[in-house]
Formats: sequence, C-alpha cells, structure tokens
Amino acid sequence: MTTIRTKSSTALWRALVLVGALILLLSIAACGAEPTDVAVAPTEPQAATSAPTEPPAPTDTVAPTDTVAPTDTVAPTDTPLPTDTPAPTDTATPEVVDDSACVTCHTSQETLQALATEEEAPEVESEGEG
Amino acid sequence: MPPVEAWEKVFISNEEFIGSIHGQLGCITCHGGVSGAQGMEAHEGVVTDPDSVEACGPCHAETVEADQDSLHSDLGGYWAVLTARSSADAMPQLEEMMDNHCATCHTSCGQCHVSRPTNLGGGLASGHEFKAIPPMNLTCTGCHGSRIEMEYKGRNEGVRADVHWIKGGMPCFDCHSADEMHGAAGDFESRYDGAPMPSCQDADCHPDVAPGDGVANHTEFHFEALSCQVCHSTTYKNCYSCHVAQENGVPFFQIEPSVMDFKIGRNPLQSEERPWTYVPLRHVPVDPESFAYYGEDLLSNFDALPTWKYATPHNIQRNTPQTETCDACHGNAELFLTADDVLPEELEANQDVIVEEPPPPMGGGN
Repeated sequence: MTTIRTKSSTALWRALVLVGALILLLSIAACGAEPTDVAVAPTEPQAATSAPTEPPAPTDTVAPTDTVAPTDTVAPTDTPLPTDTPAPTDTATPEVVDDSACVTCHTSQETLQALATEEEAPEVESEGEG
Repeated sequence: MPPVEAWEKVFISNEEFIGSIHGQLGCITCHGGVSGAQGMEAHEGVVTDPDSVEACGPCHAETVEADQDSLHSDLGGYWAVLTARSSADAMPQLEEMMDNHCATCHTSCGQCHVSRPTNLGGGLASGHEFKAIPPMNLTCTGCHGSRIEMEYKGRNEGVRADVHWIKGGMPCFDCHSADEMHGAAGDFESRYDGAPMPSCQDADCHPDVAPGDGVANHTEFHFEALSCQVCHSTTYKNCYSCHVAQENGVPFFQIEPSVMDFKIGRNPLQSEERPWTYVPLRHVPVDPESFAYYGEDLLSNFDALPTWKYATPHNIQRNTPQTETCDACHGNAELFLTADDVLPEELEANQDVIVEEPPPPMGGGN
C-alpha cells in the first residue's frame, strides 16, 4: 500500500507540474482574457504526464482541489473526489457494546428465578370473554 | 393459553440463539439498556418489545413497511367502524378509549415471531428463537381465541371442529398467507374489505367446486345466492353488550355471556367480489352505550352499521343441519335473522340485513 501510494504520488506530482506549467503558459497567452474551457480544462490526457495506471488513493495529503485537479486526466470518474468524502473521524468508530451481562443473566434459569418478579396484577378484572 | 412464570418470560432457554443471525446483533442493539452494567442497572431504558421499524426495518424493510398499514398493526378495522358509528366531535374521547382498552391488541413483529402477544402477558415464546412461522397456539389463537379457536378446534360444546382442522390438520397459515398477515396483499379498511382472502375456490383449495359438479345442492342459483358458509358452517358464538370503563385508572371491560346461534341474513357487504344475497351473520359486542364511560352519545351514528355482521365461521363441515334436506333451510324461519331476533334498539341498524321473508318450503327431500 505504501509503495503504491509513493509511486502514485510521484506520478501525480509530475502530472501536476506539467499541468501547472501548461496553465501558466495558456494564462500568459490569454493575457488577462476571461478563462475559457480551453484554458482551464485539458480535455485530453497529456502524453508526457504518463498517467498512473491505478487511480491515486484519495487521501487528505494529496488531495487535489477542484480548481487544480485536471479531473479528466487524473481522477477516475468512479472515484469520488476526496473533498466530497470526509475522512473518517473518531465519531464513526463503532462503539463497543458490552451486553455480556444480559446474556449471562438471561441464560441462567437460577438467576432469573431468583430475581424475576411478577408485575402487580390490576385491581380490577374484566368480566366475560375478550 | 397456559400461564407463564415471570422468569420464564425472559429466559433464553436455547443458547444457540446467541450465535444465530439475530442473536449476533446483540441484546442492546434491539432492546436498549446500559452497556456493561450489571443486574437491574443494565435495564435502564430497556424496551421489551422493540419497535418494528427501528429493530426489524433495516433488514426486513419491505415487510415492515407493508406491515405498518396492516390491520394487525394499525387496527384499521376498529377505526373504520368507530368512525362510521360516531362523529368527528367524539373522536378525541374514542381515541382515549382506544388507547386504554384496545391499543395493546395491536401486534409488532416481535409479538408474533418472538414472543407471546403483550396483551396476553407477553413472554418469550420459544427461548427468544425467531420463528418465521409463529406458533399458532400462542400467537394466532392467543388473540383470536374465544371465537375463532373455539370454533376451529371444536371447543364449543356440541359443535364439531372445522374439517380443515380435525381432518386436514391445517394451521392458520395454511389459509392465511404471510402477505395477508403483513398487509402486503393490499390496503384494506377491514378484514372483509376486497375479495375473500382466502377464497374457498382458490386454486389450491376447491377450484372444482362449481354448479354442475355433481353435488345436488350446488346449483347455479345457490352459488349466486349463498356464500359457502351458509351451507357449510354451523352454530357459532355471538357476543353482546360490551362496556368499557376504568377503576382507579385501571381499564377493564364487562360483556354479557356469549350466545351460540346460527343466523342467515342479507349480505351487508354485497359486492362484485362478494355477490351473495345471503351470508351467515354474527352479532358483535358493540352497544350504543359501550363507551359511555368516556362521554355521552359517542356513538351518535350507531345505526350506520349493522350489529349483525358478515361472518365466516371457522367450523366448516361438508354436512351440516342446513344440508340435510331442502326444507332444513326453505321455510325454516329459525335459521334466518328476522326482526324478532334483533334487539329493539338495534332494529334500525340492522334493517338492511334482516330477512323479511325466508324462502318458502320446498315440500320435499334433498
């Protein structure tokens, strides 16, 4: 997992540098004009980027932002962007429930016979068939 | 039902349950309580009968969703008749009455599949084992006992058991499907809403019974005029004058002794699906003053429905007193619900089901 992440990170880093340079060049060429789709979103993968064969693991440390990520070239469509998927937090950790006392008691006939009590019957009883 | 001691109600006698798919969910997941606590402290917040939606819904979503509208869950049949017999002004008092006297009769998933019904004292039915098919004698007839079970098993003195039981050995669910029980067979206002379910002539039952099938009385006319039970059921229980009240905050009811009888009347639910002119009628325990404890004139529209109701007695026989001869029915006013059989204060309510003139005698044998 560490190896994959390292290779992926290196490849991603290269891709980001190249894409950044491309954006810089295009921005200079545009010379202050409104950004266009052509300027922002590379539509085809750049051969020089040597796109990773596996999608990079979406982690907080390498998370590309929406403004930088060339989604068409890097992010696989099936992989949600890290920004949309909050990292697991402590609250998601399942609470350990200890019901051993329940089982111990409720499987012991002796214990239940010693402890269980009948609820008080109502003072008024109905008359006739229900 | 045999009584159960307090300890036995909560005793997990079959420890294999702990390792079962339901047991592995853990006690607290369904019942609440305090994790890690010992003794009675562990019971804080415990729910003995877990909510069907919360406990069962996550895995059995389709069934639980349908069941929310089933008559077993929402007591829709009760509300249908209370609404018909009363007015909007009376509903708050009637709702209070229902909460006090009737609401405990509704079922949850657990009250059929795990335990005995709460209104009968509750308690695990089989050591917390989840029964896909509930135990008939603890659940079905636990609630439907005084009329249905007594008829079906022949426990009314002098009346034979239903042939489906005594000869067929058929438990309730052989006829009453899970879809019917879970409200998945349709959205019904009462148990006789829609087509008969089950129907005697269902494919797996008696599909060949029809006019011309060789049985002398299976004529075209009889099939149009009579429900199957008119000829093939016999004496059943009728109830009168139920009154509810409270004493020191404890709800109770009082009802007159039941009366064994068999009365053929006009079909109050005649429809394309139940086309018969005549059906057996059973007197239900309602009375104009049944709920007087909760307010005056709560059933201000009492006459909107008959007190002799469409019935399907569960004591089916091939041969009954009615099938002995033609004149067992024809000309026999005793078998038919006439004005003389109806209490004076209920005459108006039953106008549509009273038989004015029983069929004339045939003057012959079968």
